[in-house]
Amino acid sequence: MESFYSVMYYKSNPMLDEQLAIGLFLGGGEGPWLHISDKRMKLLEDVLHRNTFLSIRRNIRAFKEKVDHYRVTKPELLLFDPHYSKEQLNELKAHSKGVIAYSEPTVINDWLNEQLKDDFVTTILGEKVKPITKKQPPFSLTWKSFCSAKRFSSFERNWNLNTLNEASLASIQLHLVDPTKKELIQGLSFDLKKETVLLRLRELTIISNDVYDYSLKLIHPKPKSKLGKQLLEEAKELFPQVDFILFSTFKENKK
Amino acid sequence: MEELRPLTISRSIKDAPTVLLTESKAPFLLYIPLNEHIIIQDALLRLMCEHFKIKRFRTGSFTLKSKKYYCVEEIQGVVDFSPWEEHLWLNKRRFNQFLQPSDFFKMMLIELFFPIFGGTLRKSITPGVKNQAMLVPTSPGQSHAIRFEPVTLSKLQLNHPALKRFFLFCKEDVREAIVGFNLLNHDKFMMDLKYQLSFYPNWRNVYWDELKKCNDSGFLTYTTNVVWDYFHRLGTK
Repeated sequence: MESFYSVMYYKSNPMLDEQLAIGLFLGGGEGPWLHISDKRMKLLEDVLHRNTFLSIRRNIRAFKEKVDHYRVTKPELLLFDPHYSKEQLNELKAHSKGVIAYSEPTVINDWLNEQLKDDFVTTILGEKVKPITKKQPPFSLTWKSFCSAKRFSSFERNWNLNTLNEASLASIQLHLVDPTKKELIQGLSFDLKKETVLLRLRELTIISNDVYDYSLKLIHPKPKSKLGKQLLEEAKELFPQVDFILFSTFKENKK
Repeated sequence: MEELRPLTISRSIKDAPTVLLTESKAPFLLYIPLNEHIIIQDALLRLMCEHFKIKRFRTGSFTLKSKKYYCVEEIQGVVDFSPWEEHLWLNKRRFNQFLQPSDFFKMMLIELFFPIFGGTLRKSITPGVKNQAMLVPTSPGQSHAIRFEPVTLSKLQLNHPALKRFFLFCKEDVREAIVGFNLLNHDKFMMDLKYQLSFYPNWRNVYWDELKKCNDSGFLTYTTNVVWDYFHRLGTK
């Protein structure tokens, strides 16, 4: 199938002759691709009613996911017209009366690949395509799933502090407790907000005071921010009795 | 039909349709020059939507340069309900963004049981906290008298896998919609429609001759069976 592109417009307030090019659809070749312009979506967010914007954004994001999924899986036989063909886009352009409109598909005299797609996005929309970075999940979730692993089956999980010390009035959750070996393991990321880290360190003070006969270990990921590194150094000085272990080291040792 | 009082009227540099802004800041599109057929069909459709509890865009009339226009409310962010928008209901989580999704099926039932508007009516998804179904009261056959022309499921795109998936998600609501529609589609409602036509003596006989075909027992039985057959063929989740 020959390569083509079609500009995706948002038709704003009907009192204005305004069409905002919010995206670029490229089909054929190794495609299809749908690129959504972040800057123009930010502009829409500022000018539209919140509910209208959320609805439009939901629509566009869902469409993009569908196109990306189609490009990766391509479920149909190549004998038939592909789902996102020039003819389909032409029909859509003629019949769509809603707020999202498509321009007439324009032929590209080249094989469409990812590089050509990026070039078109830069040329037509004036934007550089940002590489997709995989988002790291927060440490709290990683730590939670790590604690529920089988290797900690001999440990008690999520005990309250007054289970170990009935006189304690504080309601603090203890992540991993081994009552036989008198071991207590807590997890904390020093890259959280300063207030949160200080609150957790205050809790650590209470724990070390109330449960003085338990060995205390604090498992933490390597801090990325300058403030995180500073807070870790300060915590090590404040709590000499606590064992500060890197999460990666702890994982290796516990294998 | 409501006579609109404009606050202002837009002037398009691209010769696009004119938009009128009322005193309550509601925009209306000057859609088509008004004639008696449009007035009668608008009245019939308004009565049907009120009776079967379907939301529709507001309409009105306005005289511009000694020409009377049929105006339809313009709502921002409206998208057509069609198989192309399948990505809005790819899974149940996305489908749950719709408020009263069975209203789309009620619109299909109106077109199946009252196939007099000369083509398919536009169904729209209007934005909000949740997506809502609204009927756009414009049809291809508005400029001339109604004609009884039964529509097929394919013409309404009901057989498209995307729409089947949509209605499968709300299968129980679709069942209730069919039962409710059949209960409400009674002789008294036909009399109400006939009474509405009596306000237009020039065309009432022509319109009633076509409209009463919708109440023909053979047509009603056939259409009811087609609808129930479609419902049963929707499958299970």
